[in-house]
Amino acid sequence: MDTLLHFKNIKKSFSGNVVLDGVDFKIQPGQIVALAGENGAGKSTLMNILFGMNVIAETGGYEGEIIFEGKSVKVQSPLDAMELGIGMVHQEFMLLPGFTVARNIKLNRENLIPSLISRITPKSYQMLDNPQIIKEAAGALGRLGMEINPEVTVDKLPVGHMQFVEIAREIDKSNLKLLVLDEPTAVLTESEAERFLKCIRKVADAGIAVIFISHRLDEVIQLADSVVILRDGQMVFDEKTENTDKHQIAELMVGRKLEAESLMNVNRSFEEDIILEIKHLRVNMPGERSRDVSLKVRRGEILGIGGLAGHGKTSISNGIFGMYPARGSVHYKGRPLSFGKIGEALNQGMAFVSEDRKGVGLLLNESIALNMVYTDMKVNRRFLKKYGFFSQFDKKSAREVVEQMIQELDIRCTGPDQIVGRLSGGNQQKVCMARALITKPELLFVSEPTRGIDIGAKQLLLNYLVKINKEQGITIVVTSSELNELRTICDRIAIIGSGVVQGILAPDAPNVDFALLMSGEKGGNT
Amino acid sequence: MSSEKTSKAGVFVKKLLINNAVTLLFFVICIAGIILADQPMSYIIGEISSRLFRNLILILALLVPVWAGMGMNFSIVLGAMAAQIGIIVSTNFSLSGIACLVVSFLVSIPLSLLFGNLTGRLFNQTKGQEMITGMILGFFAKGIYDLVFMFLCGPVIPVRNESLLLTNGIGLTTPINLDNATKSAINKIWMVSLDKAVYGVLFLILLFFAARMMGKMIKKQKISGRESSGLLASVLVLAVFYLLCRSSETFLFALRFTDVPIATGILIVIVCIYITFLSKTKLGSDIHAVGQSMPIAVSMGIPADKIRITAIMISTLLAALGQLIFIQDIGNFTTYTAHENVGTFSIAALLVGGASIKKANIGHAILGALLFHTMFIISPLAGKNLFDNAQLGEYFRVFVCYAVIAVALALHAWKSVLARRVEEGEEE
Repeated sequence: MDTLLHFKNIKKSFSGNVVLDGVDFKIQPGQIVALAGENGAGKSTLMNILFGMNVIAETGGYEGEIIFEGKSVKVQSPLDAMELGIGMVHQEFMLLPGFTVARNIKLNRENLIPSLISRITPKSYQMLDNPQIIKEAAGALGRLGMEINPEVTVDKLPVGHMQFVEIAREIDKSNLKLLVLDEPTAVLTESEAERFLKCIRKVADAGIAVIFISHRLDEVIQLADSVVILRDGQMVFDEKTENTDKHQIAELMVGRKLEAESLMNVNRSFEEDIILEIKHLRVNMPGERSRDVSLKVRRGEILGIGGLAGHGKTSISNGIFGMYPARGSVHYKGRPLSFGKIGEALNQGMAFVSEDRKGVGLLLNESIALNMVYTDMKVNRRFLKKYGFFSQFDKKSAREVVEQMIQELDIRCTGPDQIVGRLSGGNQQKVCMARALITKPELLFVSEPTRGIDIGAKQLLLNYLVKINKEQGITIVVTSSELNELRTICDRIAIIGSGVVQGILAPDAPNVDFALLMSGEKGGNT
Repeated sequence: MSSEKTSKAGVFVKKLLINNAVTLLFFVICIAGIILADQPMSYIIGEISSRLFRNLILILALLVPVWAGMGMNFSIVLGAMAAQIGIIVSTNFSLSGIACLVVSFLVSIPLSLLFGNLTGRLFNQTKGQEMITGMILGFFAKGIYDLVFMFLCGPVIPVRNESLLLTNGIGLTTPINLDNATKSAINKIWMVSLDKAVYGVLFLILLFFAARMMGKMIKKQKISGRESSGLLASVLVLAVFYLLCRSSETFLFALRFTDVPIATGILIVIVCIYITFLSKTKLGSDIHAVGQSMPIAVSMGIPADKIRITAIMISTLLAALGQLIFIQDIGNFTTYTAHENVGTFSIAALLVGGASIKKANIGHAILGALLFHTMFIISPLAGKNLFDNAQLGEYFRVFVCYAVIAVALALHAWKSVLARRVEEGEEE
């Protein structure tokens, strides 16, 4: 069989940071290749290269070669990819809600008939040939084995059907040779997912190659002909599916073995003194919805919350601090917390370092000093000069505390008056942390503390979290996409998948257990 | 369970009321106004009909940008300016009658297309803020327009027709009057009394549906519900209209008393047909796609920026035609201010008809023109009868015009909040 696509030794780095390192595999026509890997393993970067997205060219291109149908190709834009016959079904739906299914399937490839006017004026005045559009759309849906009325508008369609419409749009392109599916089953129910997999099989049987990106390992095993696993930008596995199993894939995805001594908090024991109890929390945070989270946080521990992106782990702390509408119940020190109100959690003695540093965490145009004490001014009314009904920021009293924090956290700056927007990412994160600590919280939520900062600052921040936990007795809940980071500092790690707690593991639990929980396989113990 | 059902029905009624709040409000105001104004029916029907023919194209000009997701096009003011420039040019060459209007239109075509193109380019730089940009652009364009005609005409730009110039030879006089042959030249081509016109239109609609049914029967296709119900509806309306005319003397008299300009009507129909036709073409489909989601349209290879410019060009061109019809109907225009209210008044009328900044069709335009201009006619009269002060009604109609725009925009924002809440409720 001729090879359809060959990724030949692909390398890519973003400003010195290697994200793809020698990825090399082949796809035959009609073959389904599953592409697996943790978040940040390089899957989306590889797809961005295949589709010629702007980010790649803007950050200095890539090394290596893509060979498509025997010819070396340089894809400059998604349109180029489309012309080559490479189609993609995105994770978020790319459908126009007010258009019918048929019009969406044929969007910008409509069947046209000349009209009276179009004979003398531009082609854009040709009329749509609606019967033909409906017929061809129905044909494409039929080939997938789906019975969806092509004349219904998409906004009236059940969410589970939209994915099929997207696929129908791709296979309706007569030149389609390769179809990329990015976590296509994430929004589908089980029975829908099953139909979907059958549907993909049909597509492949028609001679179209499929790249299938999924975290559901069961699906990977069931559907794919071969499996490619990326880890930290390296291709660690490329095998036929029949030669492997779920556990091996899970093990390989997480990979790296952690040195036992790097785990700081194994086997610390705590009394059952519950400082925070979350019951059936449901947070409507776009892109990170949680459905039903129940968790207990013990006083004095460091609890990690992990899981894949999009499964709702970040929504928990955001829901408790009132950033997004939430339902359920939260008890803090035995008393119910009205978490719908912004500021309530702060007033009760909790603090939050948001994952959205620039949006929520910082006043970018203000000084370090003001940023650090701002929350405390609101919550504890410190650092204020009071004049009857009015009060004013008291720079002097703040100065001492701010300077101490700058020293303690090793913030590289010209002084407390420097504008926060000019600091590097790592130093900005330290300012966020300082701001939360100045309020003297008993319970600290930290979300993605090391996102986008350099390794030195990373280690310092993690060590600092452990230090304040041990010295000041602050209970800490850390949310992070980086599992190893959680394992380094946490006493327990809760894995969130599909909006619920899949299980809670000790930091020294085997890799496989973590990987299986993340991919939605129930297991593990508390 | 039952409470859930009632709450669902409640949401439905609430939605219905909110969706049509502005239209319903105006309906009530108009009915109350007509009763209070206490005018003969012939006067009211006559005034409404003449204003309908005068303004409708200007309102129709707003539709295409709404489809493209650009909101209400306040910059149709530029199209109005193009039409005025056209008239100034043809008056300068002392043209008269239909020729004057035709030349004016020919001059305004390239101008309005140019203005529309530039406006579209500007809008592409300010995506999401098209409405406020269009409004400010209108003020800015007025500055240039004033500069050209107030100071440059005469000293710099030669003017042949000296009656156009002010006595000191600098700047154009105001208002500019069309001569008797030009005034209402299009209207005068063919005037028919309103009762005959209504009969004619209804018969034409009936014929249209009948012909379509015949055509399908000959081709042995299935006759869809649309044709048969259309045919039935037009027969019914015809019958009701006939009975109304027979039973009410004053009604019949009012209709006979009112003459309508058929040629202008045909022009309006042509514009309506063009807009309907446009929405069925590839271009119209692209415009709708861009309006629904620019990122998705772009990812499918639709050149969104180009489509948006085209939409504004179409709108500006139609606005020029509309202003030309408006001016020929009135017979003169104030040189420096005639275009000022074109945007606001047309937009207010369209919103009154039930359109929103996301959705607008020909029906909204016609209903809006009827309601808005009814209010325009009767409010000074109602004010005079109520408070013995016509000034009050005058004040009221200007106030209401801006209030409508504000209320419609606020309602639009409120609606999206409500829709989101309903959606969240359903998710439970």
